Amino acid sequence: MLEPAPGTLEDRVGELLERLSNACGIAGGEGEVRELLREALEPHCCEVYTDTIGNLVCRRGNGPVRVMLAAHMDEVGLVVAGHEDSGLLRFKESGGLDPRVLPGRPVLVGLAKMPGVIGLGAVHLLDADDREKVPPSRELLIDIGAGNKEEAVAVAPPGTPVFFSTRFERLSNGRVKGKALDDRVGCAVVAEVLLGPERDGLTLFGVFTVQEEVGLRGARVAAYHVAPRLALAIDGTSSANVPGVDPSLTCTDLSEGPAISVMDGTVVMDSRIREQLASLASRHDVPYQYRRLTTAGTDSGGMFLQREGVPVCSVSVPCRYIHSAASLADLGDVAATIRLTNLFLDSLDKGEFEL
Amino acid sequence: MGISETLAELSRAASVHGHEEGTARLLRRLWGPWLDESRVDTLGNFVGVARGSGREPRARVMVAAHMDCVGFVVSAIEDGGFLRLSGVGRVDRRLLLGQEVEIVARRRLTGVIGSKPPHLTTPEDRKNVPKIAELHVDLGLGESARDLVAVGDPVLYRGDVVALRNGWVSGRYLDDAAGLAAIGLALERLRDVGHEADLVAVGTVGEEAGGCPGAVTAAFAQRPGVAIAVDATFGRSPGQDPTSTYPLGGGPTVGVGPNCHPEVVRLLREAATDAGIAYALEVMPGHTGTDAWVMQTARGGIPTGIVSIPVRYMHTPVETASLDDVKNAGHLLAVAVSRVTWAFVEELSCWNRPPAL
Amino acid sequence: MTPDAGGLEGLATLRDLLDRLTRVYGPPGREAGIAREIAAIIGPHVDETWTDALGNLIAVKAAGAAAGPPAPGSGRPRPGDRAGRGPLIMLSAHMDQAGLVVTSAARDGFLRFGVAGDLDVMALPGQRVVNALGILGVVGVDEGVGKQDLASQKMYIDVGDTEETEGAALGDVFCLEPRTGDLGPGGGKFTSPALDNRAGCAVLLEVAKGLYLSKAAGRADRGSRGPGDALFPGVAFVFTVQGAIAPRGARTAAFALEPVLGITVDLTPARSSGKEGSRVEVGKGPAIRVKDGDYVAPPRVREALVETARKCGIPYQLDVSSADEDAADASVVQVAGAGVPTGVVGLPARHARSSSPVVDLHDLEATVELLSRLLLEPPEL
Repeated sequence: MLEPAPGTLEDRVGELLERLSNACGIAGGEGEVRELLREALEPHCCEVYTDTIGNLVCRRGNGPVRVMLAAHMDEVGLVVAGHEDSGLLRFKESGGLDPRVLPGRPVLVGLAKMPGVIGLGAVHLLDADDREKVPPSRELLIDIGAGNKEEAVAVAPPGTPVFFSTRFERLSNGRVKGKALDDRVGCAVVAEVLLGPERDGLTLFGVFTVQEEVGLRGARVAAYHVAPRLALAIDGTSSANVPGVDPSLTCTDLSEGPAISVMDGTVVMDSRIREQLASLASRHDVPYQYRRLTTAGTDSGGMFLQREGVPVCSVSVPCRYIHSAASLADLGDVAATIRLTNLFLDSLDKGEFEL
Repeated sequence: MGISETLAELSRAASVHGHEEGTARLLRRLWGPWLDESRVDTLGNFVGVARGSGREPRARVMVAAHMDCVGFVVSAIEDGGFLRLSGVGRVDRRLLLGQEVEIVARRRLTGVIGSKPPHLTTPEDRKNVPKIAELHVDLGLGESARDLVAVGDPVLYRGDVVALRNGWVSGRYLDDAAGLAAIGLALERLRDVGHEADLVAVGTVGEEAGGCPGAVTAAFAQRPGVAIAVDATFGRSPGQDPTSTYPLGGGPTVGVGPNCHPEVVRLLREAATDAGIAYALEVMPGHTGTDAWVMQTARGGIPTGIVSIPVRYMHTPVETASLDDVKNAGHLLAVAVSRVTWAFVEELSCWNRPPAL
Repeated sequence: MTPDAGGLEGLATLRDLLDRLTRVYGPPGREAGIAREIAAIIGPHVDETWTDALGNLIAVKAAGAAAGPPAPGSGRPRPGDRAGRGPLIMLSAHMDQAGLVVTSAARDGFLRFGVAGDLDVMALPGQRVVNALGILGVVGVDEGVGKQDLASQKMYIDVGDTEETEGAALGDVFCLEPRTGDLGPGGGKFTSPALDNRAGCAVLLEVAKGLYLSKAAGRADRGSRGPGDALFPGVAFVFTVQGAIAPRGARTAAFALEPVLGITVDLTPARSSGKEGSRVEVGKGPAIRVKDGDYVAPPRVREALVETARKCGIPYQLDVSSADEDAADASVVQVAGAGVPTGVVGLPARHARSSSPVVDLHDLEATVELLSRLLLEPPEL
């Protein structure tokens, strides 16, 4: 059980994020992340349940305004899809991956986290031309040391999930490195908000969703049965303030606070919610930025067309190198996202903001 | 009626989205003897119910296969009575030149998709896969085509289902005649085996056309506790990706991945094992391209499973399948459906058991 | 279409309505202003109007009610409460227009943007754009960018050399400056950047006003029966949000209203010069859609529209498209709830995705008449 620990918000959320980042779960197989969150949150919520698709719904309070916070549990990864006579594994991708991040990568196979590697033929043996070609993932193989097909099928049958093996680490300046920060940062934010004070005016639903990476699917289902008045999606979004990227194309800047979305490829955010978030952040000295990209999607896009419509906005924690084996985030941004979310819920609770 | 004959009838009745009523009528006849009630719903889905023997509250299982097929509609009638086409669904443009087609107009007409004779094409031309808009259909009717054909009329591949060796069959639109036939076999078997749950057998509209409007609305309206899509999957042939193709005669496939509830997967796998039915696991990490994709997120979520029949040369006029696979898919569905209880459905929201794999 | 005297008057009304509607700012997500404008116009002609959670404007005219002021005291219903309303036919048109969403602001007053809506980037360089506060900007292209590489990321909005770009902040949305104009001898054709889809809104408003309802009723072989005789079913006029980007807002409205039939009115790209592309032509009447990229019209609905047009001598054309970008709200209306058979009536427009689409007012008028007639004698579904 996770008691609200002493120490700064950054320390506390860093600990939770470490456990979340090291946990494994691709779309449809989010169990380990779900159980971790359930264990942490069950003692603090009035109701914790799962639905048919596998979302974890945590309710706090019983007030008149139903609010939903969504963060997705699934991460990008691979799935075993075939076996060679040699005992090597063929795989398919789960979620959108850059094929260049796969070769030469250690991985964990199955929920038992069996080590494996994605190998590559020796560069010495290649023609000059072939050295310039990115090997497509259907040509890559995972080596778990199995001696033959039978052994491989027995320990890693078709459908076995495969994860990046990157361990969570704290770097300097409050920055952290780990896998699956998209969207374990959001899970950490929503968990921390659920562990905070209960608000009389709200029925708060923290929903840890499944299958975001394959089409915003869990959030769609949850928004239907939760039927909130409004909803926020808390996600990790790309941040590219790195060398070689034009400042107008960075999407977000790391360490500059949560990124409020204006629109993405799936929804135009509700301008009333967006303006309220920005105004709260300015008034309470919480750093924030706008997400400077109008494409891609978050759970907001899954939620807003459910039932008679759900006003939504996405708030994202900037993360560098998302959808790769190792991403980088700033605990200061995570803490600021928690503060902003709490400020927003307070303003709803006190009736300072309504829709 | 034999299964090969059923497939032939379904193949003949198939049409593109918007024109599924012929298949719906056929299903009333094919499935009707085993149904307690049936109707065609708002968007044209055929919905039949075989009531279960369980006491209230009774579980409700929906089993769905799509009635529509890939094809075309007439987009324009040119001078001289030549027809222009617009594709419905994912048409394979590589095989269109010289193809015989059937125009479902005032009466069924035969046409040929025209091509330039070889002495008028350049070697470069012959490397190009033509765009649909560049092609024309010749009915041999001249201007009088206008009296018979209207813009919007369906255009389909032509050809009968033929028997190959070893119980294989080949013809147009086995995708998803095979799925519909398998559901019919399951219904027939279930009457003898008995089933506690209500079975809702659905022929859906619009799966090929995009968005699966039939499956999403039928799942919403029927409120099943479990829904299983029965569709065609890629049959293995040399040179094809072995992780996405399945051998003919190797049995139906059971989908596994985010679109398939682990307990429904377990139900299907145990049913197959217990009944001695060979099957393959089909790994589907993302969009499955079946009705199950939209059924799973209908309403507040519906647990879904996918059973598929391997079909070689998919979306061509010579789709090829094994009759044994169709039979076994029907058998598998029947055994699985017969095991669905209220308690099973209630448990599907409890995600704390170890996963099925 | 042979406009009689009343027709000419109708054309002038339509033209003025289009002029008025296309001057109102309303990009995706910022539809409140245009919703207010439309609500003010339609209010007197329907029984109730409300805006739903997403900002869709819904105006309902109960079955059989005569055109005229609403019954007093009819309070705002809970959306989705169909008690006593009877079966509804839903006519929908998206009310938003394409916009440029500001994604970053440099100190030089150059604003980077993403495009929200179906606007060809080729049409953007050099355009004058304005935001909600009326701040003027001009679209520029980065030096050295060739025509082939033209993309919104390589363009910017120049709002003048202001240090703070006051009044033009991140998240702000600019729209093409609303310059309207009449084309053709004696008018008849009309251009404005916001025709997609204020033209559809204008058609719905004209149907609601009942002008054409009574005219159609007078002409029909029904003797003196007018719209006051409870001949038509309940109608929901729905002006939807975010439809300029993709079919979206209409879905939630359809879920709430549970109509028995849906008709979407939107622009349809029409043939201009060249051989490729659409076969739909401006001036040849409403384009009844057979299919587009991922939507097939239910034949019953399409045939009902064709039958109505034939019977009443209204010109029409059939529209068969393969393009996903032609998708109209119908594709989401049809999958709402347990399903809604939904058709699309397209308003032919040349240069539909450019800054200056051109429509023919006669096509709009014919569409008003077609829909009014359909409401008088709705198809059996």
